[in-house]
Amino acid sequence: MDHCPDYLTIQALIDGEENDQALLKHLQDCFACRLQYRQLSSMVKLADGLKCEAKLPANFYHAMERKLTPAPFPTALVSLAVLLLVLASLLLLGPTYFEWWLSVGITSQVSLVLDALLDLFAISRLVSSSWVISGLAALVTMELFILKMLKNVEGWQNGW
Amino acid sequence: VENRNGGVKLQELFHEMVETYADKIYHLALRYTGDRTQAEDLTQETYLRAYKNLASYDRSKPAGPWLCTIAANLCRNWLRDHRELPFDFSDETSLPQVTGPEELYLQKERAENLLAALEKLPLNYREVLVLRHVGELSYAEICEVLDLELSLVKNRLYRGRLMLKENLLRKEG
Repeated sequence: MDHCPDYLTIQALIDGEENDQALLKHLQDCFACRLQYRQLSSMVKLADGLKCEAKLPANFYHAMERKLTPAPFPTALVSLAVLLLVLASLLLLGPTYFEWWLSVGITSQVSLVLDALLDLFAISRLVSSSWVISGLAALVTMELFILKMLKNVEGWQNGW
Repeated sequence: VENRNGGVKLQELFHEMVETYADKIYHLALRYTGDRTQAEDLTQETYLRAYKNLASYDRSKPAGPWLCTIAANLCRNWLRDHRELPFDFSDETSLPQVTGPEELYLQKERAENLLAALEKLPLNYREVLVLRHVGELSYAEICEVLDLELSLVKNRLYRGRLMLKENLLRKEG
């Protein structure tokens, strides 16, 4: 090495980003460069004091995991709601419900609902159970609503 | 099934990222903001963003610089909006072991002065110093994180260290 390296090269050597043997040899022989090396080293050592020992709370990962995990779908709650809905509808529609069902001849229309249920079953193999139960709840509600409406219409026409 | 396995692998990868780098990211955020609560929030936000973009992370590279890039961007945005907040100088710097209480007091005071000196640096010098000395990133990684030329990183590192020393000397009279 025929000339002194600049301060940035010496800094890179201190930072472990440079390991040119010729540069090291030059430092051994050149007093001015050794002096600069020492000054830069003290600056690096000073800045190393910025390192930190603070620790994150122990539950940091779990707290974050909770944020990342979507709230569980209340499957049991929805299933219970569907069951209650069915029971309530049986009570509300009264004991003549099945007689009416047969007399007005809407059984064929119910087959549409059954078809939908079967489709839902097929879809359930692709999507999560939460969605299936939600769909089921929607279908039951819709079916009860239609039946209620039909009963009113047919009941009125039949003089009920 | 492939998706599920992929999901599990991503989850494992993410867990590993937290285990390996969370403290370092926290330290970075702490040095940027000087506030523990904010640093914790920013660390969490860094990981939430990382999780969302996990699929785009290049697994052939170490995760540290990638996480540091996210953290640095978040911290810079935070600083832009909260310049007026005071810097807490009394946090846990890495102090060497000392014997007596007087020595301990002096060391704590010096650590606080050092943080005060850091806080006085312009952001572009401060972040290069923080990434190098707290994040322990290489020159090339700092270039990548801050999207800067190597020569500029070297210069800022030099100027930053010099200004830090001058600020500290001024502070200590």
